[in-house]
Amino acid sequence: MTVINDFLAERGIYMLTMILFFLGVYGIATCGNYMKKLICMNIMQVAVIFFFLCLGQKLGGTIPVTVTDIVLAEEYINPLPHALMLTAIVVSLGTTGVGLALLMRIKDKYGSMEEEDVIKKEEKEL
Amino acid sequence: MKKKKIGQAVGVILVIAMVCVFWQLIDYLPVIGDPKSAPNSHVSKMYIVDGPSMTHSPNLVTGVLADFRGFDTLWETTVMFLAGMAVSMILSDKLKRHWDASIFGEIRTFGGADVKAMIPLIVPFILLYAVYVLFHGEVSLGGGFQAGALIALGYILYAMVAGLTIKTVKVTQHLSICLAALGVFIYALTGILPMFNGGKFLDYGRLPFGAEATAELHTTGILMIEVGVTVCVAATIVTILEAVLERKSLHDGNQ
Repeated sequence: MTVINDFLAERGIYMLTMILFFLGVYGIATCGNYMKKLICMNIMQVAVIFFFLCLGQKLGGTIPVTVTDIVLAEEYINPLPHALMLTAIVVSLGTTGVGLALLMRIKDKYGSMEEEDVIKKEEKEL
Repeated sequence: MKKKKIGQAVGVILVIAMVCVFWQLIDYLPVIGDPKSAPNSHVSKMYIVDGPSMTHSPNLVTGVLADFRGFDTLWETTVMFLAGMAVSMILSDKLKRHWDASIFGEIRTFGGADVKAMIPLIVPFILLYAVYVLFHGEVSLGGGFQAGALIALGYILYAMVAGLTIKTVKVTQHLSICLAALGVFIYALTGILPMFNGGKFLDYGRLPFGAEATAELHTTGILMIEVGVTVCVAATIVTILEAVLERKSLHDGNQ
């Protein structure tokens, strides 16, 4: 049991982010609805953000705001992944907005967001 | 139906193959919480130890975001502005004059509290909190992106939940795109101003404001770009909302 416990404590969180990431991949590969595909893409983005935040963690570290009586670098958690992911979250909001706008146009043109219906209608027009 | 089953099978096989590859590589990943692991040891030590003295910002995340990676954040802000403009351009084929709140159906009351009366009471506090987050972005937790999202949240609550329109200023999508561009402009201007004083792009220590202390100038510079980011992010979110609301939807019929 100690082996499993050690594994979960040391690298268990990677398994959770992996499950989240591949849930998104599976959804994008199999879902027939464009809206669901977009949601799965968002889940993948969240998994990547989790993964980066895991790397910045330190045991016993405090938030990355400098206090005068703490000087050692080991006492603060790594600020780099936080700074990188802060912008990634906001940009993912922008990309989701563009994706939803495109979905609105697809719904207007084809009357449906199901992949099958869109392909069927496209083939009929040709 | 058969095609769909094949697609699902391919998806499952693909996912299993990728899980196997990941499982083989998991031992190369650093141990969680280890202060001596690779991502926590090389450059990050320099950012933590030398960051406060180089950027004069106690919040290390803001120091990295606004000072070390200031050029990167400028283009992130531009990406937000471009996303808002793209949404507005994609949805510009069927504009109506201005949206009315009736597309949300009847306004429901939650447990007796009237939303139309309650939201205008809550929104000022959200905006106050947003300003607090913005001005504390440099000394403690907070920053421009979060403050912009909070301001946009106030607008979304006002417009979408309560179905109210702002009477004094009509916030159309074109106005909010202009505001987002103004945010990017404030950021770029903060970068260009030091160049007139013999500095480099985004060199906050050379801002031509007459102050002698470098720390003061750094604080001013970081605050200026945080204001730019806030304006851009808030205006972009409002643009996306307005672009959707100002479009003739299927429920509107033949107006």
